[in-house]
Amino acid sequence: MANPFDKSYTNAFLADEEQAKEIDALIIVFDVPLETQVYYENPKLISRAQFTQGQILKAYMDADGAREDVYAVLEHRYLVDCVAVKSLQFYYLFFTFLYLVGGGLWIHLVWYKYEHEALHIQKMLIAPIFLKVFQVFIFAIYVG
Amino acid sequence: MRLFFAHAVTLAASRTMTSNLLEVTDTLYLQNSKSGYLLLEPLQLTPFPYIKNFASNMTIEGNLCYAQTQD
Repeated sequence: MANPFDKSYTNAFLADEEQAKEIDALIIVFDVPLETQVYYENPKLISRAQFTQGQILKAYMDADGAREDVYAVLEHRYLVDCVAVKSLQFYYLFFTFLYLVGGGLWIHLVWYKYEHEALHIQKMLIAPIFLKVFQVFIFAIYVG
Repeated sequence: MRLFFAHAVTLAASRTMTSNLLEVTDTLYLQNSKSGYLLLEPLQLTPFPYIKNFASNMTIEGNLCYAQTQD
């Protein structure tokens, strides 16, 4: 279904669950990226077409907006380049290692080398570093 | 879980500025329902990320309908 809806009409259309269930896929003809606050379950697939693409699709429709002899196949492909995605694990593990080295260096400097000169605020700065370690390490686990 | 994974991968892809890390494509084929011949070159559409099935592969087939808002 190709719909050159305006933004508010599109949101209203998608919010109507009964209407959304009746169609399997929706193509919104709209040149500007659309932002929403929710993740839609119906229609199963939503795509956005440029205005020029919408004009091409429109040319294949009859005046009443449908044609029986035209069959549409919409393919959605996600993460087809698994090798590249797998390499993300090394990317995140590298940053985990980098933050760990940075954190270790900070501990060495603040707690040992300059123990007497170090302020409490400087010691507290270790917290964001280790939060970052947790973040990138969790990312590495999920990506793997 | 999938949404979190998608977020993680998207984050990494945007930070490294390498679009090939995350490949999400929507392709529309228009064909004659009887002969199966393609009526035009496949159209590369822009994926809409706000759907729950975004992180999965799927193919939807059927008739195409067109509607337009009234001014």
